[in-house]
Amino acid sequence: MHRSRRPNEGRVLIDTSVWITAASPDGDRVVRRTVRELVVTGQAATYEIVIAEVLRGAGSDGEAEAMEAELRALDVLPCDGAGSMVAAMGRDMATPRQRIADLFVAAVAWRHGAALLHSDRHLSQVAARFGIPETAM
Amino acid sequence: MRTTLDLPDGLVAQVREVSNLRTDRSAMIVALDEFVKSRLRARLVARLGRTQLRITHDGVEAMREDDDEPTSAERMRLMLPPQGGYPCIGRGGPTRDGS
Repeated sequence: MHRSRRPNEGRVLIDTSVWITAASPDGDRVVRRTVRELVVTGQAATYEIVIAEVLRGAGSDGEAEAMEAELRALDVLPCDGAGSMVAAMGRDMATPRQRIADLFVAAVAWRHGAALLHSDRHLSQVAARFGIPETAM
Repeated sequence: MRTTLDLPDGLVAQVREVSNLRTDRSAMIVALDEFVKSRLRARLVARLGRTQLRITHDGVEAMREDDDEPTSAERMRLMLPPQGGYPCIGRGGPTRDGS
């Protein structure tokens, strides 16, 4: 599991930590611009847990519905069967103990050959451990 | 089988216009799906960047209105194929649990 994988056609899985910054009116401009360009060029990818985490922060049901439609217009990476991989990664990185959500996003990126865009230092540890291409913002 | 599409406001007429150009039913469905997705992505871009959209026959141009420095992204066409990756900026940040 420790081998590196080549990113698949420049696909980038955007973590919740980046979406939160990008969606904030006062969010970092570099982050916002990067996410915007990834969406425009079709490289932006997401998956179910990120969608759930982003929508949890919506201000209303209507806003959540609109955001969900937009997020599902991106490349939604399937996470079927990722549970066993996540468990193995968790056993491998028992100390320090990693959050399941962090392991999931890393596992999904790895399975689909996607790079990981995030602003979470825990994810950097996971990405480094399993050779997942990443950009930490 | 009847399929209901949740189209963004004001785009139904343009979808019809595009669909009229297609004769193959499966190709039309694929084209419609991509058409709708491209406009939803445009809406997402607008949400992220305080941009104003201009919808054209062959794509969507997002015109930036914020005060970011001008870049190649100033006029973005959502039909472009994927380009190269992004450089690693590599600075630490907050974690998912806020620690």
